[in-house]
Amino acid sequence: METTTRNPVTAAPGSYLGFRLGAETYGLDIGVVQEISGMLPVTRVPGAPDHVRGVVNLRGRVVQVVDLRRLFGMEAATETRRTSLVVCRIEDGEQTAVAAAVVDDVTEVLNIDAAAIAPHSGGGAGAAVAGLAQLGGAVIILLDAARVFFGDEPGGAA
Amino acid sequence: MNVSPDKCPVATGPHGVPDAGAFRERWRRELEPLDGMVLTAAANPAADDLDDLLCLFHDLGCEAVTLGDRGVAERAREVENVLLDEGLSAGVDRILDATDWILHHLAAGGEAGAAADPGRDAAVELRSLDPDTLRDFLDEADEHLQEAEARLLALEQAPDATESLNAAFRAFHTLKGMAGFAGLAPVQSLAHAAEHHLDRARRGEIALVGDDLDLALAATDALKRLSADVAAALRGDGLLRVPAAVSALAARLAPPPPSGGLVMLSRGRERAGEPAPPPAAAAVAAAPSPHPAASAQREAVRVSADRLDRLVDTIGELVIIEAMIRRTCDPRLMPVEQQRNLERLAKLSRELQRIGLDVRMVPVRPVFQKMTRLVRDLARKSGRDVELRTGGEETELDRSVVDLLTDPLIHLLRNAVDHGIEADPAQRVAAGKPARATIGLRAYHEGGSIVLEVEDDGRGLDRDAILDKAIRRGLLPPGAQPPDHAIHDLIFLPGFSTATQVTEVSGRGVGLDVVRRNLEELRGGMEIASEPGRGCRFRFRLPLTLAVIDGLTLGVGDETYIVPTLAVRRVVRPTPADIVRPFDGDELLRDEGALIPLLRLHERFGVPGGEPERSVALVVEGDGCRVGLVADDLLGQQQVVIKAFEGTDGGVPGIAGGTILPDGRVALILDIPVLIRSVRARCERGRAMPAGA
Repeated sequence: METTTRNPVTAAPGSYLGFRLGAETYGLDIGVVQEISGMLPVTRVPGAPDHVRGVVNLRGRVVQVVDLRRLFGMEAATETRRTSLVVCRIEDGEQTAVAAAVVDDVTEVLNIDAAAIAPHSGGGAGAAVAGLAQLGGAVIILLDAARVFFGDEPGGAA
Repeated sequence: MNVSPDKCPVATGPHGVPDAGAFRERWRRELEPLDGMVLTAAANPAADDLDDLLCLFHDLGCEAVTLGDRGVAERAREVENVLLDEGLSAGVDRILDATDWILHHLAAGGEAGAAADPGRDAAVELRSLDPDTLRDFLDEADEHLQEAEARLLALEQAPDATESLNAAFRAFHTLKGMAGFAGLAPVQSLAHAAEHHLDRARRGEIALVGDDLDLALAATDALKRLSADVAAALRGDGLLRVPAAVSALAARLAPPPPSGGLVMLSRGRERAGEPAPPPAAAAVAAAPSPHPAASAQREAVRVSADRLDRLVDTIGELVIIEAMIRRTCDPRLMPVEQQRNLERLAKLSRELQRIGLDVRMVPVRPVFQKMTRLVRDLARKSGRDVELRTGGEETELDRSVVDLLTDPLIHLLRNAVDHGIEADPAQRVAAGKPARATIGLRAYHEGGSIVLEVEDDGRGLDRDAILDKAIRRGLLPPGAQPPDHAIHDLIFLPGFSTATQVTEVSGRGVGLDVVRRNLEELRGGMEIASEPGRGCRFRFRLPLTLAVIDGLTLGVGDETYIVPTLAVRRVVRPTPADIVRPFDGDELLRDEGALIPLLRLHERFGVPGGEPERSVALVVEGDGCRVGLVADDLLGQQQVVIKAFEGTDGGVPGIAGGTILPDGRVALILDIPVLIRSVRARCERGRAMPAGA
């Protein structure tokens, strides 16, 4: 379990919202997901970190959008009808923050039990990964929402 | 760091054992002159003072911990934190409050002989009480306390005003009832004691002047603190800790009955749904409705701030959707009926937007009340006789702006009392002015701003001293005779104002550069008028709301940015001849005879393109400095609702926030002061900033 010291966030069993980036399936704790929206026009924010694509108008609120492909160093994908925004509400101490992530496609809600979760040796952008889960032969990459949006170790945990 | 070099870290008795008595004695001596020290230090911010104070409170905290006096330790740590986080000027009130508390606590310990014993601190477990009643109590307590304070201060001006006395009495009485009903026995006891104290004044047993009035005000402060502690405890561990000083204060206000039951702060709930009859039955007749329900007769309705914000947000969304619908529909293709409905929708949404902004407006009265107290305390401390006359308390402004008024007001009032008013009343009389000085504090609306004025009838700015100083520092050429307003403006220059020589001679302008800069960041400003020997007037201006601004829409490549109109002096379409590039420096723009630095937004924001031929330059001003912003085009002018970014930690330098355009996209609002500062830093790295206009 030396991995836990390097990446203290460990995925908990429960329901995850499954989505795809390229060929991989990812999961975000359903508890933090506020809604799923179609893609919205994004306004670039000069000077923001590279993985922040910009801000969108989410029903009158100006919400930051994280590009997960950029965060994980994947190449950009063309936008399709299935490209979506996963809007998350994150409790950070006393504050709650709303932020969104661009994903290629939202798949389904996955129920993941404790036995299926394998620890993950997080590092780099992988710090946002809270664990890997085996589900029917496929591997699901479980993300830690707080680290995706407020990555305390952007670009590298070491 | 030389507060008391000989001070040992821990108070010890004859045998080296921690000694609570010695601790109290020594620290009372140490802290007694602190008020003056804090005020002086806040007025003349020098790093040494801050360090000294930090050191002092740090030592106090350590010793208090050693002696097990948690209350003092917590307060001392609080002061340390305030000093570190907010600095002396901003935190001065809280520091003074905490110091008062510690002094009371130590003094009470001296009398009761056990202040340092945590066993005497009472505690109430709030979780066992009814949360709704507690919330009601918190909602209303402040109001009654403010009423009490205002009335007490009025009494100070007119000691014979029985109506004020009765009103203050009623406020304490109501508070007592509410506290009892909520099960807050310590609050109830203290309110009861204060009520008793005022009742004695009503029966003529004591006169509410001097120490007796101070005692009543101390009770108001202690009750405010208790109510804040209740709110904090509700958010925290649910345990209301009541320092022993509270019961000591209650004991001073109302000598305890033989049983001591009143001031002993019981842990249990003291049922007191029906307020205990005040000591003198006759008093009740004099007070028309000393009943908790009296406060329910107001016409206003209490709405939680959260709910209000949600309402205003939702209205904002509706307005945007309405604009989007109108943008995407061509009325000519619509049936008349539908056109008419759309028109009505547009009208209603405009109306809603107006109401939405209205709902957030509150009067400045509470801020002014706080200032009345501040001036009173300052005047007493500096030994000056000062009357504060307020006007325009009903002036309304956005809730979000109210808090921002406090700092500049405190600063200006402290300046007025400490430096503006003559220390010697004889000087005033000799100048044909009344011995008692007057400071005016007024608020009014002007355009889209709220204006606040602080005016004193002191000695005014010493024009010659300032001019002399400016010439000696090379800010003006020898023999210069600039107009008055230019001379007054000099005191806003950083560093200029803190120079002791000017402070001693003219006595004004301490730290004003900081105040003015903060105001400009909030899209406000400050100006000054002075007449030698007759007094000085500071006016400052803040926007009525921070939620909406007038903005100019700029096109930069494919992107759209908003510049707050207030920051824009002029818009020009520069010809190539207007732009100068010195061989070793950055581009400069000719502006009214001066050369000002240029900032190309394309470059700053990494936008491709930017043909100089068809560009537009906005001359923006802030921090006493002008910069030309270059964009592709000026797209229009509109009122925009400022939205903070959600989900960002920190924010992006140069961007103040976002707003939603009628087409539903987000446009970014430029943070002009930050942009100007970055340009200035660039220029200073290169060479000296060219002089402004």
